[in-house]
Amino acid sequence: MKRFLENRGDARIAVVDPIDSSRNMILDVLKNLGYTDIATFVDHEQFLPYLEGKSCDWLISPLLIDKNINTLQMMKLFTLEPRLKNLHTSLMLDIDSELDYLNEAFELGLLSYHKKTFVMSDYDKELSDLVSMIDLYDGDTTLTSAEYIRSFLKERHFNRTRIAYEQNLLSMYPGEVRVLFSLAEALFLNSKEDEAEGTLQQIVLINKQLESRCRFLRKKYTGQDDPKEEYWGFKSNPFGIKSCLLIDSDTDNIFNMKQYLEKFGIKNIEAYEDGEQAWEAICTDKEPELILTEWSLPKLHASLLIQRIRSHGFMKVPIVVVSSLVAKRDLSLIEEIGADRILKKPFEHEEFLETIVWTVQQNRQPTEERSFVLKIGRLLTTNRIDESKRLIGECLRNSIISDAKKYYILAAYQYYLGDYKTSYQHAIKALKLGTDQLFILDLMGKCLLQLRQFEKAYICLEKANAICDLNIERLLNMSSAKVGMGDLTEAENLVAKAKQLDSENREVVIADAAISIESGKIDKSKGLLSKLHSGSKLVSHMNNRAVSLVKMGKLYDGIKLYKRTLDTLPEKWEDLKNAVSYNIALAYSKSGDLELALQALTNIDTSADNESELMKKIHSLQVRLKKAIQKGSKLEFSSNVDGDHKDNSDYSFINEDFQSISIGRGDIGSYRIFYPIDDVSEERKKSLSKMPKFKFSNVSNDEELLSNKVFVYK
Amino acid sequence: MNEGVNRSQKTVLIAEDNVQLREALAFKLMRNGFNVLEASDGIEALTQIKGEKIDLVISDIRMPKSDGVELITNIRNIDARMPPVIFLSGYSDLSLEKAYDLGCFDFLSKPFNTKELIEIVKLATELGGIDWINSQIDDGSNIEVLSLDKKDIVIGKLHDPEDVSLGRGGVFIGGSDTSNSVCKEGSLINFDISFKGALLDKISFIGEIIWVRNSPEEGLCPGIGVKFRCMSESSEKKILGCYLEEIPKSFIPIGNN
Repeated sequence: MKRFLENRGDARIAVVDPIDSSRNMILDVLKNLGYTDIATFVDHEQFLPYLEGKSCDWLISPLLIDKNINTLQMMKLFTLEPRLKNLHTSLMLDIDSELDYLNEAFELGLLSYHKKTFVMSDYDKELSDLVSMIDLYDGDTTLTSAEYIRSFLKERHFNRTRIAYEQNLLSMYPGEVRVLFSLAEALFLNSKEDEAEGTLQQIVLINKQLESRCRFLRKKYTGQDDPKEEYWGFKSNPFGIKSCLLIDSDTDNIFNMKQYLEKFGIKNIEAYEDGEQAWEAICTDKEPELILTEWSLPKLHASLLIQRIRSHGFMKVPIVVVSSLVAKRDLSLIEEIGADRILKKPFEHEEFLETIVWTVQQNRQPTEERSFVLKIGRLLTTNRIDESKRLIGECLRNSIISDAKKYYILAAYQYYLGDYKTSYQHAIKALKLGTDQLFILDLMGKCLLQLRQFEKAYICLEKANAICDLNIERLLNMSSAKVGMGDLTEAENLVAKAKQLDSENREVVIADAAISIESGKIDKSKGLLSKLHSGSKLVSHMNNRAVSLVKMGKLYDGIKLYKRTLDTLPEKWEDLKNAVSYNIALAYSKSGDLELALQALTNIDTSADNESELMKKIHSLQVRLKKAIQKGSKLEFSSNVDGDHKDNSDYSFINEDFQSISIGRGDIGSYRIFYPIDDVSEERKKSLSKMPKFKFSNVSNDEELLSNKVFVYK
Repeated sequence: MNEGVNRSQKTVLIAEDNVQLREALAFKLMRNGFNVLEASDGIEALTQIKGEKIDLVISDIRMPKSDGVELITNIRNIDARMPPVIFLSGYSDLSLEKAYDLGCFDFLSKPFNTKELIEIVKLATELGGIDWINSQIDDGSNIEVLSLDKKDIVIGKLHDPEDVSLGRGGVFIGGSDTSNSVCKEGSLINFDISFKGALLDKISFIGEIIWVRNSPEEGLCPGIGVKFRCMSESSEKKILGCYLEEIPKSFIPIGNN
């Protein structure tokens, strides 16, 4: 979460104003408010070079529309130049003639506007009120700018725009009562009384304290104290959730939860009474947007159900564990398997809704440490790399997040990128700073596993397992470590432990099949494969293992493993079989056994389907092999042919620049949240047509980063 | 009366002409369990105070039509104690001395700290117009005062001081040696004041120094403004006894000339 102007002593402010008297007046006001680092400039041309060398938090300036560079252009620049994304702007306006420019200004992230004045005490009140508001909103500039946007829209009677704006804001702050309240008012102003009434009733359900305020609003617009009846005819959806899954054997509880959720316009609510039922439904449907589950579910315990859901690839959905029966030792498991929050039974409806609001809000826009970690993890596992980088950047700058967690997040990021050494190094730093050992040990174990340091990997994973021994993924990783160490018996034992927990978990089935292949139990692995819809995960698992063997110089062990995999795969998965054959051929080719390589490909008919990538590759390899055998020469390989996509031996420190990620919605004020419906006039478009030239001087910038207490690599 | 308000919920009236700040503050207070009413100037505020039961007023000082000074004067003319008023003030709008003399309960300068404000609002609505708690105080020795942070408490004994005037929530002590190192704003002092032959023969209390006037200003003699923070029951009785005829409007008197 951006916390603007958190510390008055650290804030750096620029005042740009060509009129000496007003510039000095603002300077004096800011000094009286306790700010010390204030620079003043007569125009933006003078301000730009300063900005190239130094960071700045807050610009206070008139529009300067007739100047060479106007303030709107500067604001546009702040949105384009990621290093300026923390620079907020307040405009001093001529209220009579310049109000029209506010549409663009707000869309560009304007924080606030104030009436130009020649009285110092007026500026004093305006600016001290603004700083007070920022504190009231915990440094959130989006919610602060929203108050100014509302005043502006009210003033201009842009009521339709106001509905659109509040709804946009709501999608970022689901269930936020301040926004809902303003939405209700906007709906009344647009004569949408039913919708307004529905919204008011939702507000009261979320927070009873607002009841008299809602009454007041209703009376103001309808003249009535009470709604005609409990009116749920129109249900807006302030949480922005379309589908929700409820799992609980207590049908009364299901009934209650369902009733509340329906009042919030969530139409698609499925309810199940046990874990098995729920799992079957989840498998056949798309990812729901919210899951509420009892912890001790009959048939399939929630701890196992959640692990299945996550390994099924449903990473985005927030999961709330609703239960009275959560033991203290379960807490780390709940956290590890990626549940978002626990709600204790029995609960009041306000508690219930507060939990939903919190969970959905944190899922969209994390402000708390744990939510950051969860969200970043989710973005990475779903390949939303840009979004995750942006969030990591935000996280690194956030003072409420401990350095230990920051290193952990960086470690997770590098793990995702496949740079396991860097990941491991970050994890070690995190461990030294002493944050949750469980997560770090687990991650370190996974890194070491990838780096083929099997003994060390096992030690880390085992330590993590001592803290929490119900994590299926970890048990399987421990088993992989044992396979790497050559201890198949222990590896099988570990898979058996995972099976005891949940033999139907897909990862368990795959691991079981893999270890059966490893130990030559082909029939068993065939039986296990029949449970799976697809064998691609098994094949990629076996491929990794075989590549690892080849890398360790055990070429023929690797090929043996490939062949067993081939024997296991049923005929219907022809593509996978071909892929394995191709890998066998590659392995032989690399070792110089060209005849054997060609032989591995003999049964594949490349003429039938030449369109697929794999078939093209196979065909090309066949041709090259035949030529090489004729000539009696070797095959040349480019480095990345065999699917071993990341070469870890070449360790290079990736100094990822998380600051330079493009800025997103709401990063500055209401940037890209405020969409004015009214057309932009040509004249106003012109105000933004040319952009000032801007270049950072790098040297001082690094110093800036350090002096600003921004988290930097050590 | 507002039917939507439950009985334990306290009502706070915000008088503030800046609508953005007023709304932001209103929602913050509502989230903290308060019922909130709003007014954009002193006249609107006074109308509401006459019509509703209000437990606390938070008022800006500079407002159009009727400002905070006018508002508090009007409120105190209706009732010397209730509702208490907290001033939010910009730089140099009004001096602390004047504000407390007008009868405000507390005074926060803008930009204020939200947490601090919420604490004060809770205190003001709980204590209902006074700002002290009862505790046994014996000559300043061995007292345990939990609510007074962890500030050091200095013991001060005053024998027949030249000039003491009693307010509703504190005292002005004049003529004292204000250059003394403990005489600074924010100091907590365990006062033990004995008077010769007066109605208040002896009072003991812990007070916080709110303001210090080192030299005569605008015809007012030097001295300190002290807020009662903690008081023994016997001292409280004596002080309340002094109020019998008329409760002073002033919270901490500004002092005499």
